[in-house]
Order: sequence, then structure tokens, then C-alpha cells
Amino acid sequence: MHMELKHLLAVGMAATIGIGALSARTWTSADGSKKFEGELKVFDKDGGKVTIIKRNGRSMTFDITKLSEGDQTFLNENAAGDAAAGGAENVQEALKAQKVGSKLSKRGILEKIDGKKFAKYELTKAPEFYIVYYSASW
Amino acid sequence: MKQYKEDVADNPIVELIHVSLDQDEKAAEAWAAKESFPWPTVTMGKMKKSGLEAYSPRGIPNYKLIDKDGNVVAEGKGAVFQKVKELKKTEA
Repeated sequence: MHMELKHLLAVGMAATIGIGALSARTWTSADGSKKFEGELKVFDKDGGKVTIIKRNGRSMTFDITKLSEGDQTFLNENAAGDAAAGGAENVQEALKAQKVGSKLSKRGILEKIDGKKFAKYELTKAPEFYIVYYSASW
Repeated sequence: MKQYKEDVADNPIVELIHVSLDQDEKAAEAWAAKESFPWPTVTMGKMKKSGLEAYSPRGIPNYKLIDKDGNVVAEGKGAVFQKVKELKKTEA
């Protein structure tokens, strides 16, 4: 029993390290003149955009063509699959850490029109800013 | 709707939340369906739980730009979308 627990802990730690190693890395600009460390937040493979959180906490979104070939290969080969596997879960975790997002992500708060009826809706991104539009039909 | 598509829909750092102040939720639903609103909505009955009641404006329609920590960054349609455009440039 004790050995099983140790084995489970070891497997859990390895999985966590693996995700961390995939997300945080040193990125290089396309011309190789600049390097910076940051954690991958969002990779939109279809749109060719990437959002990276720098070590100072500031997020940057830009076209992946601004990154080196190596970084682009890394994103296309590794990060797309990672995002697909854990993207939705990561968004919910990020929202929970926000003052605004934590309330909006509670079940049943948000709805979106689906045909003629409102349907329950969950945010698909954890934005830094929210435009709140107050209005009424009258 | 045009500004939403241009500045918000594919912008990973900004989301638009519509707060409907219709007392009648069926009226809010009918309006959203008629206009095919592409954004998420908070209906009036859920406004308090959403945390957005604290930012209620004096009159409508009204736009506020709030950061993830709950600070109001801009108010009014023009100021809000101008700020969003600035943020997009900063992020690019």
C-alpha cells in the first residue's frame, strides 16, 4: 500500500514537471536577436497567434512568425496537442484565480443565445480585460 | 457588432460580457435571439452573483472596461474601444 502511494506520487510529480517544461521556456525572435523567458498561455494554431506570459507577469500576444523557426516548430509539434488536451481546464483554472473571472465562471451565471433560446455558457478564454456592456431591449 | 468582431472575438486578452437589464428574461432572450448576439450574457436575475452589479451604470446603454482584478479601466463606448485598440497594439 505504501509503495503504491509512493508510485502514484512519483507519477503525479512527473506529469506536473512535464507540463511545466512544455509551457515555460526561453523564446527567440525570428531574427535571433532577442531572447526572453516566458510561459505559454494560449496557442491558436489556426490563427497563427501565440500568447506568452513573461516572467514579469505581462502577457504578450503576437503572430508566431515573429518567433524563431525552432520555436514555431516547438509550438506546432508540441503545444497544439498540449493545448487541445488541457486548454479548457487551464482556462477554468486561470478564471478561478481572477476576481472577475471567478464569479463569471460559476455554473449558470453566463448564457449565450443558441438558436432562439439561452443556453448555459462557459468562457473559452481567461482574458485580462472584460468589456461589460449594460443594456436592455426596451 | 462590427467592433466586437474586429477587436474582441479573436482577442485572447479581452472578452465582452453583456449584462441585460431587462426585468423580463424572456424579453432579453428574444432580443438576443433576434440580434444573434455572439457574446455571453448575464441576465438581471444573475447580476448580483456575477459580481457585475457593483459596476452598474447610472444609465444605459453603457460600456465599462474592467480588468481581471475588478478595476475600471475605461467607461463609455468610445473610451472603452479606444483602450481595447491600444491594448491590441501593445500586445502585437
